[in-house]
Amino acid sequence: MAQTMPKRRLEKIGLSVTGACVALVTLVVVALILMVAGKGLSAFFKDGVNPLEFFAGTKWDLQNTNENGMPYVGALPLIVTSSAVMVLSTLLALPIAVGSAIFAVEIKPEFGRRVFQPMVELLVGIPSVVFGLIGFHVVVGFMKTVLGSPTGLGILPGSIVLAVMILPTITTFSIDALRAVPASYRQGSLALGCTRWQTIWHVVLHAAKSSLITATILGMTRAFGETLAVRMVIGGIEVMPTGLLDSASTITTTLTTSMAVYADGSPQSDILWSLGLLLMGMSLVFILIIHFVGRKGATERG
Amino acid sequence: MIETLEQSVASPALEELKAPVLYTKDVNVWYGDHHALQDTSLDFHKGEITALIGPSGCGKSTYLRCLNLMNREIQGCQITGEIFYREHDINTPEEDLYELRKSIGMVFQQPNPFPKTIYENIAFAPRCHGQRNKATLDELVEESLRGAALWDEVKDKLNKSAQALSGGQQQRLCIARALALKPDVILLDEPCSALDPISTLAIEELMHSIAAGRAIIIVTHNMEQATRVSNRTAFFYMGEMVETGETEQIFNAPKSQRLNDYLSGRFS
Repeated sequence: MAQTMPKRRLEKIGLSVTGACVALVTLVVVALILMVAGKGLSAFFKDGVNPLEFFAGTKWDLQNTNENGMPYVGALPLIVTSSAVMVLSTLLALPIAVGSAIFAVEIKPEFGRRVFQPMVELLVGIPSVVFGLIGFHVVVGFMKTVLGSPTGLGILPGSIVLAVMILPTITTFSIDALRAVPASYRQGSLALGCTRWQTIWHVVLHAAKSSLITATILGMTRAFGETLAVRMVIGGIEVMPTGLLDSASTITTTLTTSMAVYADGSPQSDILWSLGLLLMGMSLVFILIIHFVGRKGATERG
Repeated sequence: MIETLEQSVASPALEELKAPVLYTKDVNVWYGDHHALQDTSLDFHKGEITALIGPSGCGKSTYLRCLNLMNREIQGCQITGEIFYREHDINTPEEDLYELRKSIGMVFQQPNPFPKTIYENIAFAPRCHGQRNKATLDELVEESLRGAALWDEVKDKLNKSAQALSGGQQQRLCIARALALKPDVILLDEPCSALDPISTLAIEELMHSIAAGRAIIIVTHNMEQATRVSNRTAFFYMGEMVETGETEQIFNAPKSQRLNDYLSGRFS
């Protein structure tokens, strides 16, 4: 009995240490959500901002105030820019990502495993400021000289830089998705005399559909949340964008630019928290979509 | 198509007199440096079921996969020798693999229906080969499912996922999928090894009915199955085709010592 005691104590210590870790993580998550939600909602409840104006208003100007002494808090231009940048960068990156994943898995698997995948993973680790720097010098320069844009800044260069940044994310997940398709599907299709292309298009991509959608949404999530690199090439003017080569500002870049300017508790500061809350809500929506797609894929597979 | 089908049912003897639909001469297979199959020559006739038996790794599946050149999909695999199908050698780089596999169907060990609906599983291959007409496809789907004795079980759920079917139904769906291309040879690679006894029985019965007008070649581990379903049997051992003949003769009066040893269970 005396010998079993230390073991039992050890069990208890293990339980309490790991349990404490879980409690800490839970606390952080809950506190974080509560804080962002509390601060973010105070703009509407304390300062009396009309949510309709926030979501649908087109004038964003925190420096000047209207007749009621309130800043202009129409976030629609920011929401539109964020969405435009996200959609455009995904449209640019997705075909290239899936195309290269097909090559790396279906056409030259050996090359894909040994060379291509490590190379793509290298790309994931590059800090975003480096992408921004390259974007500022190369992409913006290209916009100026070739497309004749006066500043070279705007949604298009932002999307191009973002596309390069989310490319490795989508590619890596697409490669995993295609690899997960059982070889027996490909054999079944080839044995029916279908060409390799027909097999890839109608069988492999079809079977990997839900995983590919998940890969795309993960890329979109990253595009929506990315700040620094976008800030470096998008211009940072908080107006409704009218063209792809006009300076604009996303939700995230607006947050970075204005964050340190206004006193805590001021309506301006509160409304910036609301932007934070909006970003958090969007990522929640993305995660829910991924779960939904994953579950739908699972039921389709039977 | 229908006429030849009836003919073969009516007069199997006449069928035997005809030239084989598929035959091989001195086929050798290498996987890299490994000589997996040596000098194998066999004939296959329409209306006949041939069983390929032998212990694991004896080369029987390797041989089967030569017949529709599926081995070409394996890197480092080399096939030599002649494989005659419809009176020409298919073991040439110029051979149209797509046309070949259209008329030589294959069913695998694990049922491998695509993650699509039952209807789409059948209609997929005809579509790949250019059939776009909806009415023709509908007809083909029904005909193929009837041919695989599956129609009555699935006719009300053609738009449900094929992967919700039982293992035996999935395997019959895979047979129906091959039938949709109206092949005259069907290769089966241990089609029942993943199935329960009742599903196995259903597949065996099916084999007799699809053998009309077609050559059926089945690789099997199960010697009872070989005696139940096949007309002819070929015994493979260590990459060599040791003995071939009428199934009855093979199992009751084996000529070679190695086959005799195998049948009496001295090695497996």
